[in-house]
Amino acid sequence: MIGSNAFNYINLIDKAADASWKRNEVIANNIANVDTPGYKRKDVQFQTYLQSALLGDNSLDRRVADIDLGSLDATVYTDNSNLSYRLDGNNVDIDTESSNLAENQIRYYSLMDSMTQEFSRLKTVLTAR
Amino acid sequence: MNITSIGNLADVGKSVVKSAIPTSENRNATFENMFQSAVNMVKETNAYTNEAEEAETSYALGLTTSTHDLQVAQQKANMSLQYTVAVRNAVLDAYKEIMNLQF
Amino acid sequence: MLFNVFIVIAAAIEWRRNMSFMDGMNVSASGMTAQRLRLDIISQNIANVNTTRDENGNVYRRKTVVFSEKDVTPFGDILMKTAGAVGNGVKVSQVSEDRESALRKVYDPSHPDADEDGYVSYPNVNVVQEMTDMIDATRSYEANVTAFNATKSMALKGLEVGR
Repeated sequence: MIGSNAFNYINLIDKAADASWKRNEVIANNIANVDTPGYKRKDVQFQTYLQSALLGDNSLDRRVADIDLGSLDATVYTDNSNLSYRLDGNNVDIDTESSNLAENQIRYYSLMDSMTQEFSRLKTVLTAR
Repeated sequence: MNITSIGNLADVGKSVVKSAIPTSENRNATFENMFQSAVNMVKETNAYTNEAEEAETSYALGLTTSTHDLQVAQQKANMSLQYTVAVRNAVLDAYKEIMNLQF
Repeated sequence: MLFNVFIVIAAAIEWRRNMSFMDGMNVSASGMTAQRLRLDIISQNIANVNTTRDENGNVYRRKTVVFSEKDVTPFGDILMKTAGAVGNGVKVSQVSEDRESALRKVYDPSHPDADEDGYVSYPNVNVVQEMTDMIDATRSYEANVTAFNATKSMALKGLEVGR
């Protein structure tokens, strides 16, 4: 009854929030290692996974219900691009990382807010006379 | 109008009457479905509550570091419990109302 | 049942090893510590810009810090089943002396530390360079503080779900 499909979107947002949290940890590590020689910045990949999981012609409800949430985890990858002008082999740009940090924080707040709204919609249904 | 269709009408009438009278199989099937879904609901609430308690324990141990996972598990357990209690109240009310019917 | 016991013991060992709870905050804290140490070394360089004789009798040489990434504990990796290690922050692996840049030599035969040619060796500390490094270190420190605050407020926001 309640567990069949009521929490599908909440589970999805939960996964996205997990990915956002992980990205925050990765960015914090990048910022801490801004002066480490030879360090390459890391980032998190999640939205490509979500996009490929949501492909299909069905309605959104059906597609979300069919997602295998166990395999939808964010992964950390190392960005080996060498566009930086630094001589010590470190490709962390502190301004880029700071703006990524802020953007990620806003994204996390939005996801939390969406989750709260979903829960309050369910609560409204439960407590309506 | 085709006169032979009246014969079909009688057949239709028979099948309607047959399904209207609750036979013993019909009655048991509906009650069993309802009972099963009620049991499933209680099991689900139990599962959600267990998940919430597991999330609390692993948070206290330091195995998870994200607070939203903890909160989501708690909210799901609360919601599921609230739903079960609401259904139970509704069923009890319906039962009382039926028992209060005076013939 | 036995697996649960294993999980609890493993978690206790991990806790004692890390003595920490929020990895993101730990990482930022390590960054702050490392940058603060770098600032201390820079201050020491600037204070000793004219030290011709330290306790060993040698001229003071400019000190530098070498950062390296802290290793991710493999045990924690397996336990948390993380796909791709996030990283544990930064540490100062060594404080080394700069032996490559030349010492400043000034001709002053009356100085007690002058060598036989009359030249005094002053430390190879360039104050302008040190000032630039100090600004860079301060900026990195502030970025780490911002990351720490972001982690903290995200965690607190996560607690408000459903309220």
